Amino acid sequence: MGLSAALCGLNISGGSISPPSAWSAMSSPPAPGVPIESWSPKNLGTQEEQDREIARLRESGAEWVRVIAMWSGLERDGKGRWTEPAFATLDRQLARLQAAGIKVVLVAGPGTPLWASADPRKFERNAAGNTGVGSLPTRTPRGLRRLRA
Amino acid sequence: MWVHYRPERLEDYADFAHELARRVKPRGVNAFQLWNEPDHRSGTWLPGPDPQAYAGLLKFAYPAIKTVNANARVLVGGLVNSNYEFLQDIYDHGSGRYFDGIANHVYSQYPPKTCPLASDGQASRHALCGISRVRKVLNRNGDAHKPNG
Repeated sequence: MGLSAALCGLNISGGSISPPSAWSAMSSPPAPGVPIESWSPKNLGTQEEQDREIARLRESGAEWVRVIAMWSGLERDGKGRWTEPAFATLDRQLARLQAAGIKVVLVAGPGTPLWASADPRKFERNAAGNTGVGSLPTRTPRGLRRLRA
Repeated sequence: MWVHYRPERLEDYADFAHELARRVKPRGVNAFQLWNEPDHRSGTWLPGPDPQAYAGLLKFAYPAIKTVNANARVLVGGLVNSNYEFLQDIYDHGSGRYFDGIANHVYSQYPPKTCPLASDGQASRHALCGISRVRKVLNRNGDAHKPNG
């Protein structure tokens, strides 16, 4: 399954996942698969664009879509302080996919919120007004630069 | 957004996963990938990949999801390019019971013509080359029934 999925997959930004065909608990065994690259609030587009994308997915025979649920978006401000607008956005996405009969693999995290992060500089970042929730927007750590070079 | 530190307390992540699974249940979401590419060397698990810590994340988050959705299928991953070594590490740290399948991110936009040996003499994990290695690791650890997608 992995092989066929990877070969015929629509793999827009790199990551892919094949349909978990062996799962008996699923309502129906997915056809040899078309993995779909992720949806997240940043690449969702307008409602019309979403509708067009869902139509294209259905046309392609895709039965599954991978949806990213960034932790930092959904629990942004502190433990148990759920970011309701973000949950509402996610719910709308999922409702559309459900209505279209497309099943979802939900990626729980990543996106460590700053309050939960092991980032040794998180308090400093926070004080600087960066509620950029666990991202590293300003400077790449030296070790990381070395890795990338 | 995608480069950040791991959570300080894995329980915080499990609590998030629990709430997420609870909220998406009415939308029929039964498949969860825990984190994204925790084995990526400059990704979302700074200061660097840590199979022991990720194994701990599975241990906390798996039951947290199952308690709200007993039918949920929980996936490791997505592993970067069939990272069977990271998978074996997860077993070695005692978390083989805390996942139902593998999300394998096979970066098929760079298909090699052959599956060359890596510098350590191991078969290359690149693209599709490592899929059978992942299967072997699953089988060797008594998980032949778990899908590797």
